Amino acid sequence: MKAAQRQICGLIVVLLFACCVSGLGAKDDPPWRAGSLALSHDGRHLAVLYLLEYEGERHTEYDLEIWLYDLEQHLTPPRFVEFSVSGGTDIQFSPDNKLLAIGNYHQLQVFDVASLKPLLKLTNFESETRADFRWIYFSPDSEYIMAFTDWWARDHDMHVWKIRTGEKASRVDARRGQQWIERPWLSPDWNQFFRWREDGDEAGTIYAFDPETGRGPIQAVLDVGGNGGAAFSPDSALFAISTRYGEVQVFETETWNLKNSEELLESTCDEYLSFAFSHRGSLLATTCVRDDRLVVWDFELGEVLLQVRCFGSAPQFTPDDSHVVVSTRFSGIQVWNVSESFELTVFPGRFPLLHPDGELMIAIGPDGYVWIWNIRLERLQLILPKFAG
Amino acid sequence: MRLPVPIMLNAFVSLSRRSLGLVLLIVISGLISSPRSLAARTAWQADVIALSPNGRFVAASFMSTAEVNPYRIKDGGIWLYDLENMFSPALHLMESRFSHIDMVFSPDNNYLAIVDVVGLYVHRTADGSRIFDLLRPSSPRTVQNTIEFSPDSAYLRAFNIWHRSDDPDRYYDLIMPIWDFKNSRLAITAVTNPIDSFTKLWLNPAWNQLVAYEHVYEFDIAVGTGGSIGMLEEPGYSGFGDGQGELFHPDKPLFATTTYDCILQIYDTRSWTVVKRWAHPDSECEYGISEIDFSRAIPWLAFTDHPKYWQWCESQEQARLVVWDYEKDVLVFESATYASHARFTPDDRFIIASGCRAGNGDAQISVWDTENGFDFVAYPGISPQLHPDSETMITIGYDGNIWIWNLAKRAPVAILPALPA
Repeated sequence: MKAAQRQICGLIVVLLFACCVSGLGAKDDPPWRAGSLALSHDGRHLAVLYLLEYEGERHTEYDLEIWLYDLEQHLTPPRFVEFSVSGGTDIQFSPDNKLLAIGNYHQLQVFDVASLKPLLKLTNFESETRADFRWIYFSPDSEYIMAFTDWWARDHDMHVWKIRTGEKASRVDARRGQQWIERPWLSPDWNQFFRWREDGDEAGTIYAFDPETGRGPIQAVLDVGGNGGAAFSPDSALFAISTRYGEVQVFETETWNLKNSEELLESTCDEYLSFAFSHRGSLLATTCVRDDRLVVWDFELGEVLLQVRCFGSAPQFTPDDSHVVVSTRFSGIQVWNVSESFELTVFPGRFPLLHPDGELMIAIGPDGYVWIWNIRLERLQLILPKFAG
Repeated sequence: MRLPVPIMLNAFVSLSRRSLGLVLLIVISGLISSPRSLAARTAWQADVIALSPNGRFVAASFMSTAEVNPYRIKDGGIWLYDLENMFSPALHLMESRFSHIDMVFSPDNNYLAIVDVVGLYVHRTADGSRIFDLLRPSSPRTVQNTIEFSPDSAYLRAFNIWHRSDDPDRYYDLIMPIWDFKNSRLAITAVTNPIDSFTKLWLNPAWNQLVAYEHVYEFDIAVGTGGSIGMLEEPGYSGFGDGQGELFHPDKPLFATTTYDCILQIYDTRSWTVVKRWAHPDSECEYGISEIDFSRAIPWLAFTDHPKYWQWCESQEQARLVVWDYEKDVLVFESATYASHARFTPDDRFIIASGCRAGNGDAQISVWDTENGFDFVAYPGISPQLHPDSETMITIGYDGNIWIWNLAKRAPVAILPALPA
């Protein structure tokens, strides 16, 4: 009960703080607001999609711009990225941090980060079935890029292109019933691929994967009746999936033996379920929007360490696994300190990105600017206003 | 089967009705408050800032917006930012409860000197540690807060002291203590003859000449004030108020000063003779010429003719910015302005002045682009600090945070949030 009281006090303090700092901005609220962010894997570059909302003749319209910040050159203005931005834009950096990909419903462009020269441009008629570049993923060697087909197409495929030549490398049937496929169940090393079964039983098959040849031999069949999210661990060694009954299962991907399972969820979450493995150790964080729960489970010990209604989604572990970060629906970012009995601090803002140094968190602040926090010191470190140059 | 849960936190469900009501009240009160009223509750805002000569460090004094006792003393703290590593946490140097402070970095960028109404302090910029502190002398009284490092960053002058002279021929002496701060000892006290209590002391950039009102002396850090080497003609109320009415050129052997009757004079510091002269057209310029600044490469001098300056523009009086080509003896540019403290950026491209916006009295920073027909841009905020890259300007914004601007792009690049005590 004392712990609960502490949490309530913390919540009140944080709400007060959020109310106060929301008044820190300039005299007038900035008309341009950050809509989404992408951070390079080395933490050096930050791409920000800004939007300006205004009343059109018939309905609300938006202007959109993307700016690229070099976080190691703080005094240098950001660079404008020439891209015809529209709603539902995805921004990704390549694993080698040299490429920036921007995709929307109509087109995909890959830029050289150093010069911002476009290296690849694809439209959504480049594939036999229309591609949809709102969900794009780089291969671990930064040589290939993958996107899904248009949701309106009959078949749901993953398409893989060679970035340097623009050639189509492979195509994989990624069908998952009539569900909208939002995230790749490709292992981070791109060696295996999880495909939902077509017969409606909602079980899945693991295939070998190669970007040049696409789907390879079957590695395993998971007869688990899955009806929710799934995720590989960052090192591709583990795979988590949930059943329709709320049971979460963790498999070793080398043998596909079941490592552990636990009934963590109260209901089926479908695509509203998110998993996050810790980078080291044996923790799995899950959020389910339907039951509003955050659960942190030690699957080695079979012990649930934290189970709380948090109204959040998309959990992330900091690179040193010291904190779990969850973005909530109420414009607050919850940071749970793993080593301090999951002590909670809530930061104002949304869309948190974690810097590889383990201390910095980059988010969209209440004023629409980019706020950079030091989560260890619980201190606002820097604000990046919309650049109007 | 559900395993036991060691920690079961369900904050919202666990709230009692009273707690839930309190949370809702806080949320609603936060929502219905305007940003202005929320800003009024903002805990901290920057009061004084300083930039190191190499542009790497920013020192900032933040004050609480709330008065904490009947004596109007506020909480505050002084912090040091490293702009080359903006993600490293700022260093907390000291608490500060006073608005009237001054901060100066050493030429080698290794030290920061801070003076407030209590004392003088020197901190290392590398780790923020304090290496020197001194309580302000209370008697005889101090007349000038000016703090200045020697060119080699070895010595520090502060607290000019005005007191009864031992010399029967003069009533007062003005002494200038210089500290060997690295060894925590007084190095020397330079004694001069003051004319009145407004007298200030000016050392040239090489620290081998000293100007005290109308007298010019040789100066040597080892022996102090030497013999007289010149006299100024009819010096005015030099540096009256916050202004800076005298100035050595940073590179050339020139010294500019003003007279009582509004004449600007440039001296050759080798002979201490007047080589250029400009008379203000208004012979009754009430407050004289002040706020002068030399450009570095081109022979220009910028100044305003009204030194009154209110940091937050409670009142306004119009002044005039003048740019004078002292070699051709022509006025290059004139403009009515509410700004003062005009300064050139290191590359001479921009002239920057602090002041007020005409009409509504808000503080603003005025910037003229000398390469584009003196094109004018106004920036919100106060206390502009000029970065050596000549493109970056650092200011205190309306919101009390520190704003970093790019002058060429005319846009903010980043904001350093105010920090607590």
